[in-house]
Amino acid sequence: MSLKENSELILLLTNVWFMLLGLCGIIGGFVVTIDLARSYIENLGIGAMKVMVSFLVLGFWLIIWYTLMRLTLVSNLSELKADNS
Amino acid sequence: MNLELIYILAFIISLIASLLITPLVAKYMKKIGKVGKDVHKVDLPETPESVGLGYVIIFTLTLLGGILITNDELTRQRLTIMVVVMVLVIAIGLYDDFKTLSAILKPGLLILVSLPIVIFQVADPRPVIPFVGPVRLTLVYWGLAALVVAITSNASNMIDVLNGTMSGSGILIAFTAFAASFIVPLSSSQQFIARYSSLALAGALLGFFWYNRYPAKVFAGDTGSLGTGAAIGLIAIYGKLEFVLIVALLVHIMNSFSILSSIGGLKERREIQSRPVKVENGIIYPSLDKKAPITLVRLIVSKRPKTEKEVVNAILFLVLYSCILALFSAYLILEVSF
Repeated sequence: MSLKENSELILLLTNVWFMLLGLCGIIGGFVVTIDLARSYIENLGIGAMKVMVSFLVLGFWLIIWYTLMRLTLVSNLSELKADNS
Repeated sequence: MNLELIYILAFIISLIASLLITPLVAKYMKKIGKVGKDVHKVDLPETPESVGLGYVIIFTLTLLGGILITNDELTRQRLTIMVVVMVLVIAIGLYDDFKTLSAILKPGLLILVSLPIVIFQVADPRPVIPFVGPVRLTLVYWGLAALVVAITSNASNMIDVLNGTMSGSGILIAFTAFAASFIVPLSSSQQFIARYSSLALAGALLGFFWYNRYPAKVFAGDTGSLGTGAAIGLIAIYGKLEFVLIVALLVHIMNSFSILSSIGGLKERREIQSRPVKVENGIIYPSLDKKAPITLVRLIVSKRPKTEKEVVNAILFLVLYSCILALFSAYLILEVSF
């Protein structure tokens, strides 16, 4: 249960957390106050665009996360195979 | 009555009730033949299943107690919705335990039972996120809120693979929610819900964990695991701890996300051709098959095959770490709340 035994997964969780915080920063950059001078349709369009971009960034976050997990597993399994042979 | 005393009483009452009711439910499940083999043990002992029914009912009854205690109308409305959703989730869990629901129908029904959250709209649709502050998500929030219970329930269900992993991690997350409620600025209603519900959940889970810890004498079943996940999701929404609990649930999300991604979506167990791990003489080995699903347990044993107890400890250690990250996140939220 030691820190050393789970170091890779802890590093993975830390990376994922930092990426999530980065994601918040990026989403924060899209926060635009609703301008009443614009029409309702324009404001709705901007809102929908912000949501779409946020989901796109979220999608990238999930892809990177999955890739990191897969790489960790493949590397560990090849080490295990080498140890057993 | 003093609020602090109410919180402590909610914890103690749910703990004692859970300690007392769990053996009774286990006895009943054994009597009706609701038992399952503990496949990670050498002697494959038969263990009573669906025993989580006891503690989820206790948690729901404690929420009902909260409705009677509070003088605030908004808190009463929020707790009522929590009770309604919990009762519906328990019903789904029981049906799944006794009749089995399909891999698609289960999350579908969990989304359906979340509709009271969307219909009554008594939560605050402005989650606070680090570096940004409160984000007004007038429409999106309710769409996401409908998915929260389904996601957290399934994540909790998917981590319930070894003795005490679901209940132990649930306790850590419930205490994290309680601690975070002292850091994140909340309204009095949100504060009451976050503190009262998280301590009630921690108490109920702790009583159950006593019997479910390695080597388990009882299994929670889908009733227990779905109920626990739903409770965490509801605390996140009505206690306004969305971001903090997402981080606390990172290990759960990692497990479910990796399984779903590697098998290509929601699939029945029989459709998955290769098992992620194999057990020989009490030792868990990772599957070397490239097509096998990537699960948290497979990731943990991929470095070195381990005993069940070692894997359980590793999972709880990782959840504890994500809870620490969640508390750091709570401080980041505090920074942007004013």
